[in-house]
Amino acid sequence: MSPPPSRRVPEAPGRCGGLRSAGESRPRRALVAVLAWLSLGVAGAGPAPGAQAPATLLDFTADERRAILAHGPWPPPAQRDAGNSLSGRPAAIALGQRLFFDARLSGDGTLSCAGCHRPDLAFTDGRARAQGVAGHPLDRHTPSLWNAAHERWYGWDGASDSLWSFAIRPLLDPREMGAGADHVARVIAGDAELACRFRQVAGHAPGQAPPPGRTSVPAEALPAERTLVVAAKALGAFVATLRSGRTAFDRFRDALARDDRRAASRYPPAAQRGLRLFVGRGACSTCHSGPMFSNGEFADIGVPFFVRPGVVDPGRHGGIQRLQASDHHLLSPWSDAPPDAAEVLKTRHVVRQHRNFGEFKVPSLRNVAVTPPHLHDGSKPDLDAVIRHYSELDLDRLHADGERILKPLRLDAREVADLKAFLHTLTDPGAGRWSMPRGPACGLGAAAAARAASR
Amino acid sequence: MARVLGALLAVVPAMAAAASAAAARPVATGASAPEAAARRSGIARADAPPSCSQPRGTPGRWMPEAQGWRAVIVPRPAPIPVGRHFALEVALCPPAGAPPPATLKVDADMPAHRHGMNYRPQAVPQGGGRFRVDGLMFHMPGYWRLMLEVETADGPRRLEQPVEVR
Repeated sequence: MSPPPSRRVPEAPGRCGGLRSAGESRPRRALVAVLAWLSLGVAGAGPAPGAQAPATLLDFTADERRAILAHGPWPPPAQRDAGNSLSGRPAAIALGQRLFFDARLSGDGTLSCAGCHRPDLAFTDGRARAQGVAGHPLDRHTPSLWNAAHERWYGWDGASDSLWSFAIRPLLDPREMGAGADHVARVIAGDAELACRFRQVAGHAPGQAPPPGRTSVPAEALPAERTLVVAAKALGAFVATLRSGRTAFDRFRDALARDDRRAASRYPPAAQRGLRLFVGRGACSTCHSGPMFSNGEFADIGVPFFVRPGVVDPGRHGGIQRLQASDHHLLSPWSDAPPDAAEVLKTRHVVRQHRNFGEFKVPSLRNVAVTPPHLHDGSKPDLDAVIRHYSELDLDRLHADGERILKPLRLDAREVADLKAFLHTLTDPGAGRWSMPRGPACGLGAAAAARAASR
Repeated sequence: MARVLGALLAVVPAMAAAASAAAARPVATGASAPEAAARRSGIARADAPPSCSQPRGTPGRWMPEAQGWRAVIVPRPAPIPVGRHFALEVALCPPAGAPPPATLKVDADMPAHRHGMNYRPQAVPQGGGRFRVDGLMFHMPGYWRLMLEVETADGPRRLEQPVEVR
């Protein structure tokens, strides 16, 4: 189901609990009362043949309303990449954007970050499982990058605690982009535009040691590794700017928050019923909580552990191990976050437990309808398949000593359709239409930059 | 209705006079400025640190008890948000004659879900039986059980506090 067409209907004055403006006229108040009465569907007579059915608003309980309101407001305040002093800096964002689309960064020069995180596919690739350089098959599905700065952990196993460290992993992984720090430094140093932007950001040339006192990174680090980390932080700065827009659900949620029944009743009835299931009997919002529709943590939902014969994906259990073994986490010398900063608490206190085996990140459900296939292994081709998974859950596949949260929902056909209708309302219509901002070439004077910007 | 309003209006000045008299009373020496202010006003401010002198029912703090031990706990921030790190300020109150504890262990679980937290909190002693506990996170809404364990000369003592998070 598509989100309802956007219609601007003048809002009734005095909507908040019946308060009205002092200058409101009596005939206007009478008209408003009649319109409100009609919008609530209490007029008795049904719609005329062929007319649109009157808008309705379910009688959400106080608990349901509280649960619904907890999924907003949207957008939240902008978030910067953790431990990344370049995040938020326009020069770094511009460099990161160019690097994101540059296939030369991969070892064989064929695959850019955007090769898997395609803007026209809401920064996913549409495949069940990702493909690395030379079509190398990978074990997991490519996650969307929309709203990534609002996540706590990165990767389906959460092996990265920042966007910049998350960018380093595929660059160096021989199965993904198959590059190395030397290769990345050479590509940037060999391109006048990239090298110029790198100098603007880092204050020194790529592949060279920075001047004394310009950096706090390890003294023994090779210049190429310094270049790699600056490039990764620029990539993190760019990805942190990707924040999706408001959705039909957000408009409904805000209408509920201000007690605007007229605006709230424009939300499709099927989506309202699906939302009631989501926060109620389905208990979906236990994990898919907050404005992101994710608690940012990990869960075992009964998907088989084997990624191919004889090979098991340990999920979060392996992710914490990789995080702690990483040279680039938030407690490492490469991080710009002070050791007592709030953003490093997660890395300092996270603990690996046996139950983490087979747990994968609870994904955000924003734009979920436009980012199939689904789940960490891409095993569910569409939302119907995901909902059926939860409806007919195989409890024998859950960890014997794991969480006791999930149970088969046993949904009927209408409930499946309602949940799906609700999930479709979490789509930002612009999620697949990101376009690259144009900017002047690096090193242009102010006048030339202004001309380029106005083109 | 008018009679009720009249009665209320009569009570308010009396309450104000009582508060004024309480404010004029001397306070115990050694109390911190926020504590002293709280005592003067007859209530504990929600942002005041926990203290063993605070009576049961003091707003903004939990006070679990077990085997003669009591804890006064203030969450930061309050109320505890779902899915975000929070801290605790804890004052541990030993039975009469027992020394204040040097260490404290803190954990939490969701009994109905059969899981604990994904993070291991750390309690740092602040002196005088007070601790600052960092690194907690309740990653789901619902009923959590907060557990404090104190090592005593007679073995471990465990205090539990139910917490409903929404």
